[in-house]
Amino acid sequence: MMPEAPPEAPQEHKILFTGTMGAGKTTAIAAVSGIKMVKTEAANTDRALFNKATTTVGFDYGEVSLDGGHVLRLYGTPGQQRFSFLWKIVAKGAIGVIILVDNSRPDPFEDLAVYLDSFRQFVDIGGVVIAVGRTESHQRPSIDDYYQYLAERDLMLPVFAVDVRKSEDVLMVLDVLFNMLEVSDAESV
Amino acid sequence: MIAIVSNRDVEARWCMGEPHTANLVLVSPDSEVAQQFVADPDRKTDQVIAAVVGEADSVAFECEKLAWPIRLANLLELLKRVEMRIPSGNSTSAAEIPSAPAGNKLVELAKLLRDVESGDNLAWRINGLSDRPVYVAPHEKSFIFEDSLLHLVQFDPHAELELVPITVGQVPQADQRKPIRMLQWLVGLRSGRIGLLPWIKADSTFRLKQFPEFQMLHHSADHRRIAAALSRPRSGIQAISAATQLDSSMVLAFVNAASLCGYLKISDAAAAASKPKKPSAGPRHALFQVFRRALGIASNDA
Repeated sequence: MMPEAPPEAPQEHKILFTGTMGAGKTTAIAAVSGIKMVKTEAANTDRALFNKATTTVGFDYGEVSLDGGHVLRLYGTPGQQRFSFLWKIVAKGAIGVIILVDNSRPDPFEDLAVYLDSFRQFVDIGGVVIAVGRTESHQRPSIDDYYQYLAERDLMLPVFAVDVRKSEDVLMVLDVLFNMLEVSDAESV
Repeated sequence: MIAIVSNRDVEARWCMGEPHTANLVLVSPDSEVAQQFVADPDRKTDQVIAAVVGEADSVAFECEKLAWPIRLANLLELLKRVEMRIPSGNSTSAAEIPSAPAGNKLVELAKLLRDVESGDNLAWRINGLSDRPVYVAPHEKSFIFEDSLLHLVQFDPHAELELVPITVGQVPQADQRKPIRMLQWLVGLRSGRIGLLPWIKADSTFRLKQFPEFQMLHHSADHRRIAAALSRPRSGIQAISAATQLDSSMVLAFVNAASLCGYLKISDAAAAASKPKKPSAGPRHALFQVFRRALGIASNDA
């Protein structure tokens, strides 16, 4: 009789949601998380930068339970750049990154550049999807402009106008990320 | 019309209709009745068979799969795929990629939509796509259809269309203005049923300039998969089909639609494309399928 194989140890997989303060990271994770989110919010002392009462100072956390006890962990980075030292820590072991861009900000491209540079290792493997919010109220730059901006940096990444309050938008973005990672995997086989 | 043959747990509830005339037949893979049905030489050639499978189930015959327990999102996704495959769901070889006839009215409409430019002083009324006319307003990059878009999604690609030029002032001042890309996308997808649009060569190199705006377009999970594959250059429809492991009829419909919307860069420079690789699902395909199932994202395999 064959000895029974030991049960596979539960594995953890991580996806990162990053972007400026107020871009919707907390909302996006809440839209798909299977648990009540863990938030590390504090009073927002940068009201001039973004007018909301609280902001994430550690990281947001949500998770989705998978078959076999595995877990998909969803992390949101703190938006304020002074907490950027945390980004690399949170990114360790992640399989992909969703960059959320707030189109109502003064220079969304400048914001995007910060995250493209900070998460370069994910950009290089096609493990990044850009989700642009508040496009209905702020139509410029357009999504076509984003692609133009990326082309100037010799990048081809998916960009979508999304409403992170809608779970179907967040799920669509996640599925595109999975597909991009699969393409990357297939090319590297 | 859906018929389900001998699904082991839900036979009484799900067995309905006449499977021999159905477009989609859901079957239990280990059912003898189902296997006989699948092997029946008199079965309709354009009929889609989908096996309802649990995680541990294997399927002895080539077919679509639907994960058990059935999730609504997966079922709807399957229905979308069936809708797009019938009646042209047969595999085609490289030499057999059909080209849509240039004189076809749908091709004429596609050409009109390809060439629309903002600032054009002309508008169009399209009769025959549905019971109500569709107004194309190039000057606003929009179209007007005073009914549910669901009625447009399934228009008959062989319908007799009438393209009537009208003045901008004759366009109804309706609230139902939609981005013209939605119409370009729909017409592109439906034109896939009659073939590749005549100005596109099947052996060209294809690469996305930008991803389709999936958040507003009627699309399936397969389209997201094709889009990801086209984030890199691919030489020929068959190469895209191989990279995605999807039927070439699905790929050419996507190419038509993405081309009309201006999402696609098409060139004859085959050398610019990456070397064709052996089709591979990639080492983490199964993992991503687990993610999709847990998140309730419809996918094309169980």
